[in-house]
Amino acid sequence: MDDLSAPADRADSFRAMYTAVYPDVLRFVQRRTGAALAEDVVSDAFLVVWRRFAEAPRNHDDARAWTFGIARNVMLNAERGEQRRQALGVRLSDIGGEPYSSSHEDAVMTRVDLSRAWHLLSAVHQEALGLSVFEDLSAPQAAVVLGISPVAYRLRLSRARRALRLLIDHLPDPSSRSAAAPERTATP
Amino acid sequence: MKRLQDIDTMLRSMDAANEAPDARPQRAQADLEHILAGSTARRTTATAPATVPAKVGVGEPARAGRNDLFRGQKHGAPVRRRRAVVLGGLAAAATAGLLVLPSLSGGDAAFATWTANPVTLSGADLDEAAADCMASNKNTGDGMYAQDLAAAEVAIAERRGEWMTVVLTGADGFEATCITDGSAPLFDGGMIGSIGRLGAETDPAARSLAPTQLGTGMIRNKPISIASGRAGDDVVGVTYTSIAGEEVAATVFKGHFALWLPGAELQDASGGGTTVNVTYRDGTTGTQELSF
Repeated sequence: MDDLSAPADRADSFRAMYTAVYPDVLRFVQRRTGAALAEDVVSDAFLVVWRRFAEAPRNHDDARAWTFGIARNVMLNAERGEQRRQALGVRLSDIGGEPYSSSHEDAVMTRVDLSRAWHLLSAVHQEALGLSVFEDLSAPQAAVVLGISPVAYRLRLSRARRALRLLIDHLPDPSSRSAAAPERTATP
Repeated sequence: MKRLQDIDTMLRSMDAANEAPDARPQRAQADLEHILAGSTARRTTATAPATVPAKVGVGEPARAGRNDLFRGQKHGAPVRRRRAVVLGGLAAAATAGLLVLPSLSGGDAAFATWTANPVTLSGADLDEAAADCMASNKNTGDGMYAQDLAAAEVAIAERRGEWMTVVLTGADGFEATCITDGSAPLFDGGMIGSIGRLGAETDPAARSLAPTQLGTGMIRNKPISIASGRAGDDVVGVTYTSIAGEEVAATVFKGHFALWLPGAELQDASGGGTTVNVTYRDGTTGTQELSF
């Protein structure tokens, strides 16, 4: 098949997809890399999307997830050195010390607690949680992003949730740096 | 033990992307044009590695005016399917669900596959169409209907050629309607529909129809006419005879009816009323005037 004869339809479809997905992809990247680099990463990712556009899922949400997966690979490739990284950690915003207000009486944790617990999570667990919480992806869609099976993703997500809960409930005293985080080294 | 919901909610409030800069429309547009222009020149290098140094200078002027599409993305949930414009206020004295879409390419833009007699959607087709309708409306009104959508049930799911219609209903008179072109290329299909609550409406009498959408809207730059709403328990069939003399059958199910046809002939129906033929459970037939 000769791509040179590709109809303008393909470019129009790509424009439509680009416009629809760009803001979400930018945010996806901003959560995982420095803000200054994010637009460059997104640009690279969409270049790959364009080249592989024939493979793009038709469904909007699936195509969005597929694009996240490409953006993730671009970021992993960019950071690949002698040791290839297997996961991309997810950043949280810088927080102040104010308590989180909630009507639930058991929700006494603060942003500080959660932020500390999050930073103790492995990158693999941050990534699994991030796709569900921040990118709002279903298990099959998140699995596409990570290139694993939906079953493996569900397992990884449940382990990540359990690890985060344990960390929140058993946060080490800030002054005691020796306290071990129970799930810190858990494998996905 | 902290509740998952609490943890997720708090995590979302700490989303690093909320502190990052918004998408800059000029940069995004410049990148888009470079990608498309570059690919034309380098078609034969389509197997280039995934990581490519960024080539686009920051602040490069935009070359086309689609900037508004990138506004308002920072706060709240990610905006998806922005072309799914939906009007609230069902059963208001107005045409519900007006939408103008850019006419892109492909799909059944000429309604060539449209059929006067609908086919009931079932199985995976039904699930997909319903999920699509929910997803399309999830962010409408800053998500004000998100919970209703999550709890909604499918009242009507029909296909007319490539075109699929879904009516979702829920508590307190909640209703959402979506009509989509299933054959359109990625992201080009668009959607026409409406979402809202019926307010103080009471159930229609057993042999009555109570329209909640009645009028004309635009999809893919072409008008379509819609009549849909609630049907009494004894109503088992509704048809509308078009100006051209074609009999258009509604889907009647779960106390609802829905029909649509290409063209603008129901443009004034919401004010002036339009006549439909009704078949009742006892086998008798009659005509009824639809109006708000």
